[in-house]
Amino acid sequence: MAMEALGTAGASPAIRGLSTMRALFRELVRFSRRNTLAAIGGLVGLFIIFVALAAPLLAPRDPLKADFRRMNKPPDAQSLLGTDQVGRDTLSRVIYGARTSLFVAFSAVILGTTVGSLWGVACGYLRGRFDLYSQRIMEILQSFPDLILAMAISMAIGTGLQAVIFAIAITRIPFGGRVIRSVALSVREMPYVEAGRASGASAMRIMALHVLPQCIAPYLVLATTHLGVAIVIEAALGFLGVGVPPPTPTWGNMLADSITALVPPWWLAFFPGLAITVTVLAFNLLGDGIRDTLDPRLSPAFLRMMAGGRRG
Amino acid sequence: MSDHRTDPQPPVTDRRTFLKRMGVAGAGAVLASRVPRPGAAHAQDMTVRPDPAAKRGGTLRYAVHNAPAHFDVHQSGTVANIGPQSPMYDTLLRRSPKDGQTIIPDLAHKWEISPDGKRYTFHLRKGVKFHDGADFTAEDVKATYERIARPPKGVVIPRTPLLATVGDIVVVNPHTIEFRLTEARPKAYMLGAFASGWNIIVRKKTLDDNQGNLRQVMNYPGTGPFKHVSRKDREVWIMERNPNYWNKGLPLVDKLEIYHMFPFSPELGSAFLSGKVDYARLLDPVSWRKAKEMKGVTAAAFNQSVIQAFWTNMVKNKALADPRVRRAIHLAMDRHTLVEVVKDTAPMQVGGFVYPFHEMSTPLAELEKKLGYQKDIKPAVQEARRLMKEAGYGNGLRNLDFVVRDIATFKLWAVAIQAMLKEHLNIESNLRVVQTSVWFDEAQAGNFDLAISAIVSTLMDPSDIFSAWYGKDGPQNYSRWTNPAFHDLASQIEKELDDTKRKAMVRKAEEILENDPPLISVSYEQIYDAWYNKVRGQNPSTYFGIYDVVRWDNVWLG
Amino acid sequence: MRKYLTRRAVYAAVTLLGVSLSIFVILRVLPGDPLVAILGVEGHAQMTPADRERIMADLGLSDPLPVQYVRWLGDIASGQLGKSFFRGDTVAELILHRGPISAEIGVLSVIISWLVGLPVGILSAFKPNSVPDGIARTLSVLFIAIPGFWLGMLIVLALLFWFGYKAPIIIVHVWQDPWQNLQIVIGPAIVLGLAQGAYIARMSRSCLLEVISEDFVRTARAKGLREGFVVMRHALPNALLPVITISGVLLGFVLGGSVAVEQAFGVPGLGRALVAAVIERDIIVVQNLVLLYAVIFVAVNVLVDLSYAWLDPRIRYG
Repeated sequence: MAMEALGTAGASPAIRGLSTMRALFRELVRFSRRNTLAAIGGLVGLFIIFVALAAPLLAPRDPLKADFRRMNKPPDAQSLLGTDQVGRDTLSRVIYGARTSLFVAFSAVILGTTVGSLWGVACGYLRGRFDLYSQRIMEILQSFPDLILAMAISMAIGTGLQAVIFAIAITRIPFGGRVIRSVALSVREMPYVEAGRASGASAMRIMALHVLPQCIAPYLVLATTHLGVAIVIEAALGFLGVGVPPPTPTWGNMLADSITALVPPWWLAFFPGLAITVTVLAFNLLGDGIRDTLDPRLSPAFLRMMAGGRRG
Repeated sequence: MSDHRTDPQPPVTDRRTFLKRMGVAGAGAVLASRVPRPGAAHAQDMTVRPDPAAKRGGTLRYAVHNAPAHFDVHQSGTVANIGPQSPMYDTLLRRSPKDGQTIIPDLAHKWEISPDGKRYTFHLRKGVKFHDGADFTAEDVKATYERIARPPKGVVIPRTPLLATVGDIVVVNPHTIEFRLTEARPKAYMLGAFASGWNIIVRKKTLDDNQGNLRQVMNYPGTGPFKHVSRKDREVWIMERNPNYWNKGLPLVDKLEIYHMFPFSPELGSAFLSGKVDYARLLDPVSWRKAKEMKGVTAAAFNQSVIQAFWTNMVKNKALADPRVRRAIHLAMDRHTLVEVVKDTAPMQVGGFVYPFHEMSTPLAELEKKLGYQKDIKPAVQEARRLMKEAGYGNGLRNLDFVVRDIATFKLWAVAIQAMLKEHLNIESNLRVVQTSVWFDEAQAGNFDLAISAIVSTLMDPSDIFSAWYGKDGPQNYSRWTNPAFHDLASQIEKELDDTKRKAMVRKAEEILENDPPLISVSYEQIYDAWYNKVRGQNPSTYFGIYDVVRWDNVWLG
Repeated sequence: MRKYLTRRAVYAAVTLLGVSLSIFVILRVLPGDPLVAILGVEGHAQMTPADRERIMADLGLSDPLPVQYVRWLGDIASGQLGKSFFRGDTVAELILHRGPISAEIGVLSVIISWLVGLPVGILSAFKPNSVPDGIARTLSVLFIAIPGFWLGMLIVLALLFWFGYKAPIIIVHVWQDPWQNLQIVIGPAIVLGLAQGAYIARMSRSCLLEVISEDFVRTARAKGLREGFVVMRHALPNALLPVITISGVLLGFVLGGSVAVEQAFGVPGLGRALVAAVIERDIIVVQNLVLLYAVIFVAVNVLVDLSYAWLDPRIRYG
């Protein structure tokens, strides 16, 4: 309180930093109160990210280690989520699965959305033939259903972690491209940008200084909304047997492996799927909240753009 | 031991009863069973005849893997070919469906063997027609067997080693054919080769028309009891009875619906238990146990001519070329646990380099005393570590490419084996799961360090195994293993006609293999079949494997 | 309108050309010799160079890539859709046999999604922030998050263990035995339909909420018209528009998601055939099936755009 009375102008950097943090914190609280669900989603998401990062510390056992004395055990004191057919601890595998799934999803979304966004900025600003051809290419990319494109690409470049990330990333490019392109288009018309151009500033400079900052908010919305999709695609690829190859535990792989016996142990069929659901739910809720905040108008036109509809 | 020929018995419901009948003491000795040497019994007057009580008509619904990599049965070693395709073909001789052992006439109604054992003459039936109406003659038999014994370029047939001593094949007249051997072989061995379900008789014209390669030909004509109607990939293969079948009165059912399902899969189990399939072969243990409890269902267990093993690429990997390293790997395997790991997925039993249930092999009770087969693996692991150090690999190996066939059992074993190798010998491997067709390609191309799969032998006889699995440049010798002492011994064993001497030589051969392993055995497969009681005429309890009695001609629906 | 139509059609054709080119490029990048699949490795290794050239020429694989591409397009245009490397089944047969099942699942799921999603969305919009609305929104968010193939897996297991039930194992088309056919397609259709329905419920709710507060609706209310009437005449069309828009996106979801859901339910549909072909690396089959999926996706999106344009008076009468 004393801080506010003093005002931050003229205060030392440490004090300014601190009050920025307090301001940020207050914003967060306000955000949470208006979007409780999103806040919960965010917290759960953070928790899952933490679990993924701290996997080696949190997992009770090595997810790849077979223990032949404890095969097919239901959840008990020693293995909270049970063990699989070769005695690997399910809880450890789910935790490490979080690591793989989140790593793939985050990498793919960041890679795809960033590439798409940069491309979109270039399109929107440069226009002309570059824009025309780029639009067509993105159009083509969007003509494939997500999972099928990812499958075809991973068939071509092989399986493995990087291949899956790359394949999923490619499916995310057109979304970033479109949205950011229209942002760039609208920014382009702004007077100060015109002025910049008139005064001879290079295209790159204008794009970097004026267009990019406007794209941050839509970029964040895009990234969070597509995170859930990426997680499901990765899990589906694993379920079908064309994703990250065994023995790396991923939630999709684990589900596929669970149905090897007529009576699959229920804990093997249930927990990985539950993990996927909770994670996707958390990130979806968070994404909703961010979208609501950054663009509360939620116009159908915007939604259409986000969803990638074609207009002429 | 009971003689199957003169003592027909009702179907057996489980191994215990079967073993009691076989006179083996102690129902617990599941694995020490002795089946009479196959082919020892043959009868020239026992052509399959329809059961007089049989009802005719109906559709038999059966499920087996029927999406093979290609359609050429001769070139195949998998049930995905022989399972669906065999009802359309006949063989020269066959194993009787009554006991699965006795060799009886098929397309050849009579045969003679010269006293020196070097000339086999077969008298062929007259008036037999192929499905396309063409007449069956000795030329077709000659073309078929020429192909199997001496395959053309680009064609690889796993049964070629069986016919290694077949020299000239002479067509005496359109219904008599003579095989002249360069060297005599035990009668049981040769007759077994002619009775193998794999050696289906095809038309000479078919081979000529297709440059000797039938891989892409789905429906080539046979003389068998059923004709192709339609096939939907990965779904169902429909066949109907052949009205012009040479064996009048057979087949007894009108239609076969063969559904595509993977062996031991829960799909198969649930399809059978819910009544969508009449006869289930290669059932998983859980479904089989459930089936045994069901009213109106019979469940049977029998031995399979398949070894589950993994190969070590001696050409690509210097370390694996050292016999000490391979013996170390062999010793580090906890075989009893490996059988346990898949106990809900597939029925398996512990074994070494030859069939544990053959009378020539080391009996299991004795085998289990040896290092590598003991329940307590500590002594074996100690010895294994010593060997690795001696070979200079005390710190283990890194980055072995471990190729795994995409089937539940192999995937589970691969994880277990990987763990055992790491824990006991500090050998690190990377699992690479691939489809079956890709696995065989990688194996034959040598693109692996370790590769796990299952391979088949046609006969239980050690000579077949020694040449098919361990023969120099043999088609299934994926490790590219050779051992001059062994090959010498093997060729002696092939020619030895005295049983006692032969047995002693086989034991010596086993010793060589133990110390210089050509492959690392994981287990031997058993087969679980189950069928609704309305299906009659198929009693697999005494069969050896699933590749000989597969024609369904004498099966009827009650 | 006609101008728009032609423009849209040409546009779609160009896109499809680009799609086919992409598929061709992606799959030709594949390492490995297709002849290995046909002859097996041993046979392949034993071929003489002359043999190899002959076979490659027969299959048309030795021509330069652009020629192969053009020939591929020509083949497709004339209905020759290629065949599998392994068992020689033609892709056309595959599509004719399994296509109807997958198509049924798709269509049924869309119908279910509308039947479930629209009413829920509309009712939610009319009573925003009430308890039923809260439940509806929770369920929507849940169904979007639950992976379809997991749900399918659990349903199959539950049906088997609680009721001993298993769906038919071979394809029965609707014109052969409607009841059997329904059993095959209903599971995947419901799972996919509920997920789509969740999106539709959310979308229609938010769009309707926006419209409801708009002037003309208030005017209608002020004029004393009944609530229901207001909904039907004024609110509903506005709720439908975004639903139609989003259908294009959702179709991509159905086409992609159906692959995994078919696998989970064990339905022998086109999606499973595609997965099997990808795993076996059966290039021609993958190539042509992926093209088919893309063509369907593009075609339906064209339809969506056309219907949108038809509803927009500026384009319809412009």
